[in-house]
Amino acid sequence: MIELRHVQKHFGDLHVLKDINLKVEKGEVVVLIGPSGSGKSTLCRTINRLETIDSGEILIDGKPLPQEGKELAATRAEIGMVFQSFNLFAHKTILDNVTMGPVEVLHRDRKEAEAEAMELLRRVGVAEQAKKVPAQLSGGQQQRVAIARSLAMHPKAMLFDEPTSALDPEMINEVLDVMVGLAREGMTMVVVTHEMSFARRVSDRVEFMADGQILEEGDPNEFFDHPKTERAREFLESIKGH
Amino acid sequence: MRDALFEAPGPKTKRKILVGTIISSIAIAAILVWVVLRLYQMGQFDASYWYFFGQWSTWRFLLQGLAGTAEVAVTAGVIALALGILFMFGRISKNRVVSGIFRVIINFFRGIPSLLLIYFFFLVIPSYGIKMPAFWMLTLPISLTASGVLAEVFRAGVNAVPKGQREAALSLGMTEGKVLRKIILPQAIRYVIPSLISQLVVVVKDTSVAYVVSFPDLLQNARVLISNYDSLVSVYFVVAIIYILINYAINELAVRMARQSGTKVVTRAQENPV
Repeated sequence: MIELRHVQKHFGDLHVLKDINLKVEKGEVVVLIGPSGSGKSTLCRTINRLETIDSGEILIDGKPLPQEGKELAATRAEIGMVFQSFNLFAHKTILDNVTMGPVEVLHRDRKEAEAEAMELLRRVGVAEQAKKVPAQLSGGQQQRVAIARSLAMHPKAMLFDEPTSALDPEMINEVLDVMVGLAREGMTMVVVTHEMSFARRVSDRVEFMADGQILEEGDPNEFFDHPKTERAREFLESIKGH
Repeated sequence: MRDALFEAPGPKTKRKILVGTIISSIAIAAILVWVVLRLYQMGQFDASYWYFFGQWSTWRFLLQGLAGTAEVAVTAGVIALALGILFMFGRISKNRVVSGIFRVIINFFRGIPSLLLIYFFFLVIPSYGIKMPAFWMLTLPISLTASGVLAEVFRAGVNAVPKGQREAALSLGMTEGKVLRKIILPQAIRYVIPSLISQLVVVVKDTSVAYVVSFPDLLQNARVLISNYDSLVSVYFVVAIIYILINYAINELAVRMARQSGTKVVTRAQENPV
């Protein structure tokens, strides 16, 4: 469903993505893990072209990712994205945040969209907050709304860019629970995260990145228990204390 | 609310502040007394300078002037807002030529004094045979100079919207234009409401050069009163109070609006890691 071939990217002199090859099948959950600055967020963001690439190919359902215009927008509409900093629309209510995509992009009837949005908000457990604005919600609640906002577009795949990194510890699980539920329902997911428990429970594959390269990939339990590379061993050692 | 520039004062500082307050109060009182005394000695409190403020016709005349001022200020304000947004769009265009052209336009109108532009509309344009009522010879230059400033104000607002807002909207599948209209602009305008209102105050004050084109605004009518009753100080005094009250009211409105929208748009720290 998502395929990257020989993807290269520089930020000025910095070579952030070095010949990345990655394939995510329909229904697969792939976790990108690695030290900060390793390029995992950038990699995740290239998949819907929030970051451009210098060379290589990105294929969505076998077709090249469009580079601009309506085609790019249409492709983005099919891929959900959840950000580290939630990025809920600050001037809209929670309900309007969720109906924004269906109404403005898919031109759905507002009444219908609202009914479905309420259903989604119930599912992620924040239906009572529908009339509030984002700043009135906790981080965990905001992130669950962000997930509902993406789901309202009926995406065929979802990208999660460090979805729990900006959250207070006691709110991490409420977001992870929603993500686990999605994974179990068969959503195709690419997740940048340090949450080992999540990776072990639901991911099909872990990709370990460092210095812009994928150094190791494989079964999550295998990776966490018996990392093959020295770099991965060091990294896992350093995050163990948490 | 206390201005948050300084930390809470300790005992020593409190004593210093008290002494300073007493001394400056005395000084200000002394200056006021001196001014009033001088005015009195010059006979400025003489009834002949003030009696006509007891007549309805005087106030009606001033109110007519005030209506003229309001008409110019509101029209100029509306045009300036529209042009400001238009110029801002040109300025943030990704097309370098377009962006460059609007950069020049904005800086031209932002940099030129409105009086100079009024002279241009009043003296130069008619000499090419284009006739224009006094109202527009006043309103257009004021709108144009204000629109240059407003374009930059709007641009600052657009830049103040966290980039995550744009990214979230794009990833929902919105086109660039829709993102700007539905997500960025509504938030940008809320951010800049206080600056918009202060610019409106500038517009109100700019209208006071109406005498150049003989348009009957508040100050122009005041000048008529002055020559009729030969009473400069009293008329200017009253007119100044009217201007101050109007602009104070506009500012109060700004503070209230900013407070209202401000509490709604407060966002959490929005950072994006590389």
